[in-house]
Amino acid sequence: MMASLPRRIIKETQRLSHEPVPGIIAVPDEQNARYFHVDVTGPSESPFEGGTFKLELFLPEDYPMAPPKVRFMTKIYHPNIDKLGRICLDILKDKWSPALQIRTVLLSIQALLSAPNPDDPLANDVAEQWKVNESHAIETAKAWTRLYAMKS
Amino acid sequence: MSLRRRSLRLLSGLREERRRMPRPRTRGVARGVGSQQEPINVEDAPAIVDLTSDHHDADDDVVVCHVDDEVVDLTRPHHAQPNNSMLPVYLNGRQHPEQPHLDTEVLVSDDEVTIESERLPGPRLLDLFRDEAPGPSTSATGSSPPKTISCPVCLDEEKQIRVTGRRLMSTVCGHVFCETCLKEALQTQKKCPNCRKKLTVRQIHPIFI
Repeated sequence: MMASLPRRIIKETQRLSHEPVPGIIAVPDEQNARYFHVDVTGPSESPFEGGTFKLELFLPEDYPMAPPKVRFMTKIYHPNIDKLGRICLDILKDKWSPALQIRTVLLSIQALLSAPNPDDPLANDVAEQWKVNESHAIETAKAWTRLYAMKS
Repeated sequence: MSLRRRSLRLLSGLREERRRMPRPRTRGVARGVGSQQEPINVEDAPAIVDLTSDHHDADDDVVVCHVDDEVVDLTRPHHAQPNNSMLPVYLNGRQHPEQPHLDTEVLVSDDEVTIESERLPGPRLLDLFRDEAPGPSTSATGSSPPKTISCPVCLDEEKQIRVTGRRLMSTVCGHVFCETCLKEALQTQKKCPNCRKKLTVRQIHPIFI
């Protein structure tokens, strides 16, 4: 398995562990070096503050020419993340560039938590709520964060 | 008449502004190559010109404003010179902390371009290049920017790229990659992996340092 792993992936993995991004932990799976277990800390001054969100990240065969596949494992109330954890983020789709990396992708996802965009929704009901009654939506997001993203 | 004169003055002021404007920096941390910011650009100027003057002045301004096109011209094959005297120009266009004075004047006209490139001795070109961040990899790692050039796609450093028989390639937008990665990237997406400018394989060239 490791033998066929592209050097870029090895380098990225090493750098992720040697120079970690604050608030982001990405560890490769023991069985599959293309599959990462990710923890992202909810950004401060966002409804997700204080939470730790689990994600899974998979590097497809044609990575870095194709984007990584990323999904939230922890339930989250966010207009651009649906109930299956799928993320609506341009760089994970048509705006992907091979010069992006695991760390830049995860930073973008963390930034998305700080800046929900209800005008480009993935979870329509959440987006609607965000537009109609933002303060209520933020309260729900905080409640979900406490409920699902905080280990007591 | 006086109105016309005033608007002309306004225009020349605009021209000055543009001259002083730094090149757009499209690199960000979180979004990586994400943001597609353009400088105040080409479309704006002719629009203003149309409103204020009817004839000859307009042409003048259009020429001045098509800064980017001029830069692009420099790297086209018929401009490529054996001594690469045009290369430093390109680097100057990008902001460099230690040489802020070399900044955007370069972009204004061909004359100035030549002057700038003559002023730059070889070693300095090398220095400029060394300090050039290799892409999102640096901004992402943040703490320790690499001192050498590396390909932002395979992350290989210059030396590694050379010993494996690959060339360093630059795009017309000034971003450097290893040959293999850049060509592969252009096959997948016809855009610069670093700034997303539309690119074809004819708009890249080897770079010698």
